[in-house]
Amino acid sequence: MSDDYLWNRSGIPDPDIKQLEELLVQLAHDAPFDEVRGTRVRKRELARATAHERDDLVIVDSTTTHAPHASRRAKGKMSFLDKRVIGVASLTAAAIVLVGLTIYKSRVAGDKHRDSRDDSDVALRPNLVDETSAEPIGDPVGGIDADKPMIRHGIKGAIQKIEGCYEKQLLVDPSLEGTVRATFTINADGKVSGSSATGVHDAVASCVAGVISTIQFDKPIAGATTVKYPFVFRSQGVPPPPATSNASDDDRVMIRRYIKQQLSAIQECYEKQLAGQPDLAGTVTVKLTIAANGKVIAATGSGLQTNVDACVANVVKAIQFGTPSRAPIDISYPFTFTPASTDSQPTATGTLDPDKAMIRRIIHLHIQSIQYCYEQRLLEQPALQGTIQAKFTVDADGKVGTSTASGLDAQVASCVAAVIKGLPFERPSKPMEISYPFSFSPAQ
Amino acid sequence: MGLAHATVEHDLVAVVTAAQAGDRLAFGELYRRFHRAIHGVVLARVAFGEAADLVQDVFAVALARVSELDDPSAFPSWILSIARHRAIDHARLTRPTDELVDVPAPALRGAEVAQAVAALRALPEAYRETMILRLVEGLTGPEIAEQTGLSAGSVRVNLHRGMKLLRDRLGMTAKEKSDVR
Repeated sequence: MSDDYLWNRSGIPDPDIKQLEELLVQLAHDAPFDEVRGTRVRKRELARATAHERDDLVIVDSTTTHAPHASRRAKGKMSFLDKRVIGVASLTAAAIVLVGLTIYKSRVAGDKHRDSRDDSDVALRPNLVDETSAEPIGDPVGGIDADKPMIRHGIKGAIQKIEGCYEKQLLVDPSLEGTVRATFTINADGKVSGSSATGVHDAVASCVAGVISTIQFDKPIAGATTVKYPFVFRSQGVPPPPATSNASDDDRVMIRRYIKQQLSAIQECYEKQLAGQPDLAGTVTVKLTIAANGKVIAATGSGLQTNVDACVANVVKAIQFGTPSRAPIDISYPFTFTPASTDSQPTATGTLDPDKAMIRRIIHLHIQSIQYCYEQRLLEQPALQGTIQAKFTVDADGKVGTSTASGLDAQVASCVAAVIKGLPFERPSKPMEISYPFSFSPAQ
Repeated sequence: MGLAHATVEHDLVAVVTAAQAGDRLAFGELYRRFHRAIHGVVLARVAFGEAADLVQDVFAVALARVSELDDPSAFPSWILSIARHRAIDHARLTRPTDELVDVPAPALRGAEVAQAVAALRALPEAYRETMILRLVEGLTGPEIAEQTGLSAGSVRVNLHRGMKLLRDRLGMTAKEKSDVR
């Protein structure tokens, strides 16, 4: 039977498909977007951007060992792919930190950092492996895999308070960053005991331990469980605003959060001018006044270059801040810009190769097709995991010349090679020979 | 077809870019275009009664993070990945529910709906999502390819094989016809 109707509803309707469509249409989604929830989650997610809550929690002790394991069959790479997407997105901001509390060509720099990581390996490395297992300490015991989502869920519920511990101390020491390592026990009833933490700063660690001690987790499947949980705090290139006579510490934390959200737009102001003035560097100081409703009444920029000053001020002026504890708030916010310099950061930045970036971008766009190669095989071999090494050439016109792949499984390799063969790469500056490893493992 | 696809992609990039700049109307447009796909992806993994809630959750997260997306053209695969991740996490944290009650309260022909949904959920993962997008959300094959990032060929294969399995499991017998072209 022709699949035309199944494909695009053309041709003679297939009665079975028509019957199913009529039956199931009542389940189709038609609700409008919940703006209220969107705003609420947006605030929460913005806060998350500061404290890079690491997923590499390690459960070091479990009182029982008989908890069931979740089925791993045919889960494919659904979950860790988006971790990578989100991880890459945050890398751009995180990279800024490496030159201190200054803002520079973030996108270029972000790419450089990614490239430097890639270049340390063979050619490009998409790093598709699940990074939650990148730092294991000890072997998983008993039902810990089954409990990890519950633990993460509990931590995520308190992440705003946890990052608040860091942000308040950041007001005192704007260069503060690092990892707080928390250790605590989740009792059989889900309550926390023995919460302690070290790292970054005593006040931050103590505060984090205090917040964790108040979390009510779900009951762990494995019974009372001791957990180690690292939290990585980075200032992300946005120093807190300087103290003023009428802004409380909470206000300063709030202002920084909203400023941080607009970091890329602020950087763009600088980057646009940088094209014509490669040596442009300096500080734009924005003087702004925030009203009781969080709106910016006035914002002016000065100190660097007229266009950049005005552009940054306009970006800040458009921000809808949260409600300050007192109003109006008058504050001067400095933004320091320096061009990216490979001389100053040779090991961190490496050499930006736009061709490699293009290859990676195109592969990333079609990663689901590559993933599909693996998942199809995973249905037959649920334990299948490993690496496919793809080798291919990209001609001057962007077409793939030869494409081969090996490793893991011949069927997956053949499929991956075929997918790459058909990828629409852009024209590179010169013909390229690429080696690209893909690591596959079933999702947890 | 290539030109049309390029136009669609360019249009999408413009909408995503506007959304990244804080244009809520543009984000609303993204919601309009993708909410069914997100619902289908979620419905492939969680109970019907919980899917709509997760759709809102996914778009709320997307609203918060869309400005972090480096490549606007990657929006479809990006938001679907968020949806899969959220649905998988939710499914892990939720006790399995009886599929028979997993139908909307006023469902017409509720038992048949439940049976069809159960059969869809029992499909291999590779086919399940595509089949739900086609039969529940009403997307066509080309729309599924566009909104999921899968190649048209993969979608077509998934539909063909998925439908074959579904017929078997629901006791439908396809009437074989010659494909006259």
